[in-house]
Amino acid sequence: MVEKILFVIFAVLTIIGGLGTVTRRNIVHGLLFLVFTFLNVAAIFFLSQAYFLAVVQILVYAGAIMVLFVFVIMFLNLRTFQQQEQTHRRQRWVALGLAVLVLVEFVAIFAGMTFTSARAGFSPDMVEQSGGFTRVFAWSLFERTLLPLEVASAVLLVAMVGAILLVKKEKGGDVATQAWDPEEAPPANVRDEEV
Amino acid sequence: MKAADLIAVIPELVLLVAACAVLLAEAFRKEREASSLRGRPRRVAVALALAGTLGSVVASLALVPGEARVTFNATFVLDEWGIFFNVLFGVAAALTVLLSPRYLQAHDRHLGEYYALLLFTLIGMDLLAGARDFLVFYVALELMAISSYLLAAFFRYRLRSNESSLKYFLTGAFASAVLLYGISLLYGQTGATDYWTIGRILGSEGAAPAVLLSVFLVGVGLAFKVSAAPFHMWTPDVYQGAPTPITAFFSVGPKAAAFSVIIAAFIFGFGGVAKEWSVFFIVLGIATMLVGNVVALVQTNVKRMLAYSSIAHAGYMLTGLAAVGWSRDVYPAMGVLVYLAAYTFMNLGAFGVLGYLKTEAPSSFDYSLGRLAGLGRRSPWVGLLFSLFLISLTGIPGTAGFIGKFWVFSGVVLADLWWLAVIAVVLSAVAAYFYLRVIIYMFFREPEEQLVLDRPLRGGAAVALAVCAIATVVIGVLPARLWDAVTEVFATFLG
Repeated sequence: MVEKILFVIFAVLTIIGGLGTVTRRNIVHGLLFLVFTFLNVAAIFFLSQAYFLAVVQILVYAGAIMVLFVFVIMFLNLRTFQQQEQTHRRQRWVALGLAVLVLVEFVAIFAGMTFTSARAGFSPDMVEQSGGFTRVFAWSLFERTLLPLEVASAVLLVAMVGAILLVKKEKGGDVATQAWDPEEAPPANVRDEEV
Repeated sequence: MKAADLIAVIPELVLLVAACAVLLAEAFRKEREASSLRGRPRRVAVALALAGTLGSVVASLALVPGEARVTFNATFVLDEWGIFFNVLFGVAAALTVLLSPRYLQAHDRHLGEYYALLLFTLIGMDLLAGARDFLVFYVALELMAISSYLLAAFFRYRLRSNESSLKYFLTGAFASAVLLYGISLLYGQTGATDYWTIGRILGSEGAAPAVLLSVFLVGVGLAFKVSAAPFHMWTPDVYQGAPTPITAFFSVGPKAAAFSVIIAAFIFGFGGVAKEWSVFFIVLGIATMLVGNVVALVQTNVKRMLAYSSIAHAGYMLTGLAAVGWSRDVYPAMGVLVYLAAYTFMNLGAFGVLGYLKTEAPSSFDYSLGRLAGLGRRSPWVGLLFSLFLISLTGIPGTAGFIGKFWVFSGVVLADLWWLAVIAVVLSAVAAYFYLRVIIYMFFREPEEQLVLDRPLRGGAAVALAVCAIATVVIGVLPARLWDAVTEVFATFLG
């Protein structure tokens, strides 16, 4: 019972954090909400006795990755997003209506449902017998899902190459890469033609 | 993992080595030619990319197994199915590499990373075809998708490329999120991620609402990837703004890869609710054929027209998928594979001709229909090639396009969905208007201003277009060999 109450508390806090992340206009505030979300997710992992995952979540996501984010934001000096004119005002209300509809649908379908994975997956006893959570986790990661893990390294390599490709200053590439106001004409060296 | 498991991923490993070699070759190139905006084509990168793609094709063919190689704890399988797709994707990528160097030179953008990213996309596609597990499938899909976003943004100083890449990225990320939600719900209900276990457990549950919802979410995520209506909005803009050889590749490669996982995942994983997902694909298929063909009618930009045409072709193939579920038989899926093979060559060829024209007239050719007027008489070979591909896309007998349509629609009819086949045939007759209109412009219209081409068609682009043209005709005239290959694929596919 206590676990259930704690789960609901942390789940609600996670959702609040997520909403805060996407609604804050000040990007630093948004990031702090994101850290808050990660911490709550870690707490949920902790409640499900996935201690190792919880620690990794805090160290890697809330720690390392968020520090990187903050660094990048400080370097680029992005404090607030400019208020953009909403181009599709009516769509917003349609989207809101549809979102509520989808939510109702999900709740209607999944309310009161028992997920089989809770029965067919790893129970705490099984984890205990096979040598603790970390061991089971390592086995799953490096044995059962080895191929996706290795492919993920290729994904990261591509992301890295891509980041360099998109932002590297190029010799002879003296074309403006900074943004300009959409209402003004673009700089002369930005080319708007078919490729 | 056993060491023997690695044999099954040799084609992917060859590509990975080639991709890393391209990246390293770029890093060590001489300082004086280091500018990406001037200089010579990256011969080394092109050679390595060609070697990699053809090497993976050869490795796949050398691995033709007596029995399927079920590897990595049954999450990845290399059998005739995987080899068919490895070869198809490898050839498509090799043709794209051949089309690219002059095009990049004409647009003053010389970076070997282009070829490395193409190889990474190919690795993702090969893994997708062999995946039998939703985790492998998802990671491979992301590898393919992220490389594609970057390729779309390759001309980063062009507005259109930026628009293209951003739209591709946002819609793609959204599709991935929907797909992941579906996969996580599937895991919640079954405790498994591999197709077979999921299929076994869901098969016993029948059409529970929760099962249907998760299958629906996975289906929607994949519908984005094959640009099925109403999830097609990104396609014309992305295709228009991406470098033309890359557009050619997008329209055949990632789309075919998405079809390969749809067939595998839906047959193995969701066989229990086949009738239900069949209805989903019928609705999608009709919408996709309608939107693709009708909107293509009013396009004056030929590149956009071909983008809508590729949407329509996805619609024809979706009817084949619907027939698979409806009849619970893989026969229509064989037609889809034939269609994919035929479509790969004719669509690569059609976009390849546009890429050639843009290469040789980079500032004056804007893909408008009027610009093509008189082309057939000035450059008869180019005109003939383009006409051949367009005729094949129309589906006129004697070309690959007809064979593909014939097998898919006959599968649809045999599945007792004859009315769906009638809709598809009527809509592909509508399509004849916008394909043949281009031919009429090329041969029977006087140009307002002659399109001046710098060089005749030769070099890598000529080889690539010749291969596409020969394949289009050979599949059209002698389809038996391809049909035999597809029959063999399905003989081992179901295990």
